[in-house]
Amino acid sequence: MNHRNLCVISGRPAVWLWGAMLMILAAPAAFAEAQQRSPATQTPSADAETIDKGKRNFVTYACYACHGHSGQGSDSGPRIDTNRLSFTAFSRYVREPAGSMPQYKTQSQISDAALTEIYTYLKSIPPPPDPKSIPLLNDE
Amino acid sequence: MKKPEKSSVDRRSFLKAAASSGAALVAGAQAMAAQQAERVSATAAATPADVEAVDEGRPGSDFMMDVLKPLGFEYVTVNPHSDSGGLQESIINYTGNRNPELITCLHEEAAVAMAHGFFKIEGKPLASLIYSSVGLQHASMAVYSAFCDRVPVYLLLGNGLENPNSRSAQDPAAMVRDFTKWDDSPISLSHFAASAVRAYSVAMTPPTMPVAITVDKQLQEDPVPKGARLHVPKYSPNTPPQGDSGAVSEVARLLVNAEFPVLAVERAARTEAGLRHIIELAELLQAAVVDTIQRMNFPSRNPLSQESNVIRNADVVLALEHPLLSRSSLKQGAKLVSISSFDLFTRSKYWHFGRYQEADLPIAADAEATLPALIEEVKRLITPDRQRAFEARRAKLVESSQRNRDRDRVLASQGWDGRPLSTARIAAELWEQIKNKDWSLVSRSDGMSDWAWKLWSFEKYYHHIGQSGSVGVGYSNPASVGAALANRKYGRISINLQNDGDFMFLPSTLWTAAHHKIPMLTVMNNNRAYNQEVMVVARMAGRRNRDMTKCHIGNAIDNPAIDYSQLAKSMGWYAEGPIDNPNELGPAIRRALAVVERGEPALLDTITQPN
Repeated sequence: MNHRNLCVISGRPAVWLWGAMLMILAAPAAFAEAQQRSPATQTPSADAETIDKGKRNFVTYACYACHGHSGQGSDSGPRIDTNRLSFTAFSRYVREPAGSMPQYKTQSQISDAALTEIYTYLKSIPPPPDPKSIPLLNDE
Repeated sequence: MKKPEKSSVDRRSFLKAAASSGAALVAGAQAMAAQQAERVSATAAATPADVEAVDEGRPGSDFMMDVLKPLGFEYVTVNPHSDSGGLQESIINYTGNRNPELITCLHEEAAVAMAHGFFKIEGKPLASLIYSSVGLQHASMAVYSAFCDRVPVYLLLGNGLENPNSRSAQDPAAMVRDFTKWDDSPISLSHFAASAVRAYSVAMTPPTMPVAITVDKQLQEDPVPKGARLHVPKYSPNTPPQGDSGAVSEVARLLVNAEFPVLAVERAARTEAGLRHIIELAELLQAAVVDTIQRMNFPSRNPLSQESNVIRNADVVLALEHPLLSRSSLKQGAKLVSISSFDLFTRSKYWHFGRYQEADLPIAADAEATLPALIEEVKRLITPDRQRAFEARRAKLVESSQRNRDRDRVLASQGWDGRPLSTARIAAELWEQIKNKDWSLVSRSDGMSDWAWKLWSFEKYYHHIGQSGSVGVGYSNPASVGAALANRKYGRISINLQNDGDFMFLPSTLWTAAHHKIPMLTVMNNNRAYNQEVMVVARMAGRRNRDMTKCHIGNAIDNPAIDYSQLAKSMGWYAEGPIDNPNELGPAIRRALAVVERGEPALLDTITQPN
């Protein structure tokens, strides 16, 4: 959660309102809850071509703008590179998201095929290094 | 001070001659010769009377500098213009371009934003010499930011009505009157003297804010009238308003008896002393501190520094210069106490004040000036029993602080080796190389997703300059140069984490930094878009069941990608980039810091993840 009550959206005056909207947008709790509800089923196959398409779709459909190019999260959206959702639950969340995440409701907005590719890409992202193994993050 | 000899050259004749010469250039060589002959003739005819006029006294703008110089302006930022020529010439030749020294800006918004940044480090205002109408319209956004951020900027507005031109204005300060604290348009030199000193006093009395003095062109250029008895008023700073002693005692009682008090601080520390007072109060009470980092209010690694969600657990919240803190963020029955100078002066038009706060005990006073009395009262009320409760509270806050730091490390590790660069990686690489130096973050303190705040140890007042006040884009680049100018004489390393969208409002500020040899390191947060606005458009398209693949339109800063390195080099900076390989980051920072340490500005163009 961003712990400032001033959001970092560029140059718009309704500061407190934007701050509240971003808190909702990030909605990590809602996403985590969806992960816990999800049965682990229907994992699409992870061939290189699908992963590559998924990576491109992640940009085309503007997912990166809030979740970062590697799904690592940002001020505007939670981390999704380590999501434990089944594809079914993932798809349901994208179609009917909580909070202020943009709604990709219909096939014309994003097809199931494109969504599958994005899911596969996210699943292919290797876990981040242990922070204890990064000297720059262990400064006291 | 040695004053220059009176010139035997008549100023008006010189100006007439210059004007004639200018016209002659347009008309061609033959016409020029004729004009020159006419000018020589006219000048010769006018010489005796004009020489006598000059002998009557020195120019009015010299006296204006006699008034302004004791106020202690180190610099005057300026974009040159015809209606302040008299004052500009007096700064150069009468006071020797030293205290104040002119800083050449290529845009009036930059001139004022630089003054904004300078104050945040130095605690003293700069003057900005602005063309009354056309210049002030450019500058107005920066004036608004300073107003919202409670920063005094001293505007001198050159204006000419006696011989008006198409840029003259009847009442130029009217344009910014809704976001300045005071202004005046003196009609005589004695009027100027009184109003100039009054303006400084008003600006520097909490709540501190911008002020404007319109400086008439003719008043600058005409000689001081013969026999005029002019007086330079002495400036003595006002004592800032302190809270009522009875109310302060009640606040102390509430805080000492609270189970979980929280200090919510926004623009609470005006100076290093304010920072020390807040630390002392928090540690006396072992109270959580929630800082919106609009000022350097509290050390980032002090375990009492907590995230905003702890406010929900508080039974007493003391809001220090934090008028936007909403009661709705408190639990039912919690007491909200406010010490703020906000209600002592505000304006109506722009809603920078947000909702009415509904404090249980609002104290209209300057928080920093009130804290010493509050601290003494708290000390008096603490009993051994309460002290034991405080220690138990501290232990929990230390645990919470450690959990937050551990979580931040995990978050920082995500995308650590990624391309584009992780902003956490940039912050960590920078910290590794500046942590043992005397450094100052001169950009918005929440830049690069707050990673500097999360990973660096902010302790001293000059370690960061807060934010813009208005959240207006375009503030950070010039404000960082102004803050770096203030840091220069202390030999500090100024670091600017610069958003690309903000940068392109006033890129000419780079030239000002190079020209005036202002050392600083700018690291670009170059993610080539207003990415948060991409999300805004995506939300609209989603709601309307429309195409989601075009939301970058109007938001992307790409095609072509801007080469910030080349841009910086063209204006005299050392620069490297674009850099998107994380392994190249550390060595590039090392080379750039070496440049900065020898007194020059340097820029690294780093290609980054979205915020």
